[in-house]
Amino acid sequence: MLPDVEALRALAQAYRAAGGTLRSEATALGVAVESTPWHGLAAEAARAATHEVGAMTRARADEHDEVAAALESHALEVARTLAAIAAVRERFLALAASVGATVVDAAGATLSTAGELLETVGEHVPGALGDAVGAVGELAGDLGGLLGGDDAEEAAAELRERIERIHVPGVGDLAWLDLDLPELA
Amino acid sequence: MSAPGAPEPVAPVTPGDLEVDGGVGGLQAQYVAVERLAMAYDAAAALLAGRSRDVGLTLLDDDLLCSAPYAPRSFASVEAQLAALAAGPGGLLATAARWTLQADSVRTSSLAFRTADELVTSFVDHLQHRLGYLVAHPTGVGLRLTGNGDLLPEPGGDLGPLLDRLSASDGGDGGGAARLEAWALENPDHFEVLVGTGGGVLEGLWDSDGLPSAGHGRWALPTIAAAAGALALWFTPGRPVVVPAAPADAPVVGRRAGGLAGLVEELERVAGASGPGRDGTIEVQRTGSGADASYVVLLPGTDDLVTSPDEHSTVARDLGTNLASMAGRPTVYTEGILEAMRDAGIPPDAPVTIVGHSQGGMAGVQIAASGEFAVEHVVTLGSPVALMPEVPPGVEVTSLENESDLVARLDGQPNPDRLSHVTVRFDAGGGSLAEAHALERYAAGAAAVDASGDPTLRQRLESLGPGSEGGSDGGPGEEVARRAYRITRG
Repeated sequence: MLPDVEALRALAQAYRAAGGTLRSEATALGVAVESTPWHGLAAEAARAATHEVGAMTRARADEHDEVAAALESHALEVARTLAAIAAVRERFLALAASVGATVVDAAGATLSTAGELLETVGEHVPGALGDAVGAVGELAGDLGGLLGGDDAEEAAAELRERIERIHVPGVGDLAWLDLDLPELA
Repeated sequence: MSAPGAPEPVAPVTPGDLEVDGGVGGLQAQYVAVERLAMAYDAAAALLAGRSRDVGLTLLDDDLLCSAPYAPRSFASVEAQLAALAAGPGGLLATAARWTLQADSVRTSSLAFRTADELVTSFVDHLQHRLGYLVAHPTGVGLRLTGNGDLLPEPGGDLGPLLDRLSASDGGDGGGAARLEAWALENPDHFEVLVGTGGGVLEGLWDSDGLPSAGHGRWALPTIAAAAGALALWFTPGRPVVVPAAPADAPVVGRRAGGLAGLVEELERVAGASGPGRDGTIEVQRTGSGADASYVVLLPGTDDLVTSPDEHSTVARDLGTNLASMAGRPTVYTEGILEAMRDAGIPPDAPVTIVGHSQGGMAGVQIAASGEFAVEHVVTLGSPVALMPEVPPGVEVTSLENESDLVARLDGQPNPDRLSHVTVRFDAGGGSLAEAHALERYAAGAAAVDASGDPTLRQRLESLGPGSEGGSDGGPGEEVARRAYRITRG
């Protein structure tokens, strides 16, 4: 499940509104105790206590505002992380696509080199992303061999089919942040 | 200064002279307001406790939890703040607990004051009863030892010897009664306290054939109202005879002046119609028609204050009816009024205002308490209603009392300070019991009420509805349809 930044912002807004409600309540009770037709020592004590607890309630209202600010800040951080993940993934997918696109016109040696590089990185990246990177690298390595042959068109078709079978981690997967490819960081 | 023997003129009453108890500015209203405050504190506590629960749920919020790996440091900061807010030492739960404590504290204060008031009232009632009892018991013993036990008839017993002795001791010139009246008019507060001992006095006298009781005697008369009920046993209740009559000195359909003064003016007119052969007249006035109809019932006071206990009087508004009314019992007058209201076609849900003078005010409270009609307001003028049954919720009682009027003090204590019951006291003078009790004094008090800016009185006048606010000079008044009835004892 991906974090919902808008839901976090809505939560922050709800806390801000609840803080406003508490502040209004404290004010209303202060007005009520002053306007209640009650006199004498007990009444004065009740008024003083009401104002004291009213101040406590306003402090809780302020704390709601602080929680709201913290939530907004958190939502911002989460949004930044998601954006970073999206950028890495996009660039990875672009690279993977470029591997496929190079099938037709790239030199086998170049692909072999890129494949080795990706395979090496894949071994150091855990989980599905590592598998995907490794798979892309293996593909690129294989392509070098394939393109050395005469049937380039057949080789390209096989490459596309193998690329489609690669499982790439989903959008927002934190594993993308562990990926450290040259020019991807 | 009035000439000797001449009626004392009505003293001018200004709005500033009015003393107002009860209603929205009264003691019970304060208690209600304080209890509402406690409820508001409870609501604040519930709000904060609810927030604490919501914050706890946020700690487990799916969106927040799944965002943790993406920004662990800011996530940790949010979680720490949420945990402190929900249940930290100065958090929401702690603040909710403070509001609950505050609600309990305020509620306890209110209860303590209310209980103290009730205890003081109860103590004063008890003290008055004991005072009367402890003075009257040895007096009764002395009377019995000197062979005058026949002066202490119990209810239903022979009153002849007592009445003869009272007449003789008065010298037949009424001097004794006049002196008592003069003293009471000079000392109305003392008179009220003395009246409050009435239950104890009667019990002490009637118990004097034995040892004094430590508590209530065998007649159990804790209040003057109970004593009045015992005295009423000497009188025949009878049954009402209600006959329609023509409205006195007013057209069947005509205008009624606005304000409380306008209502009192109408009552004065109806009361003026009473007299030999016309006693017991009341009037029902309708304003509007159909579903918008509202009614005013005008109830004059006592016609015969010197009814003999053994006399079967056809006058419904007599002394016996007064005594039974004070005891809160149905009377020939209240039953007759209800019959007249039914005959006038007042629907059970149509708003009714009752304006009564003296016994009429007591009857009005009883009619309201009966619940047969949708009585919204009862205005009593010089009526001893302090001990009468409490009216149902939604009924507002407004009592006007002239300071010098001893009749209004026959309940032996001030009217209760209730949200529903406003008492307005003023000094319109009066050189005798009858003068101080006269409706013209109450007309002066009502005019002052109309002109008053007192918030409690403004609320009452607004509540009385259009035509009642603004005073008798405030507008053309309302058109009313009048139906009069005469109630006698059959």
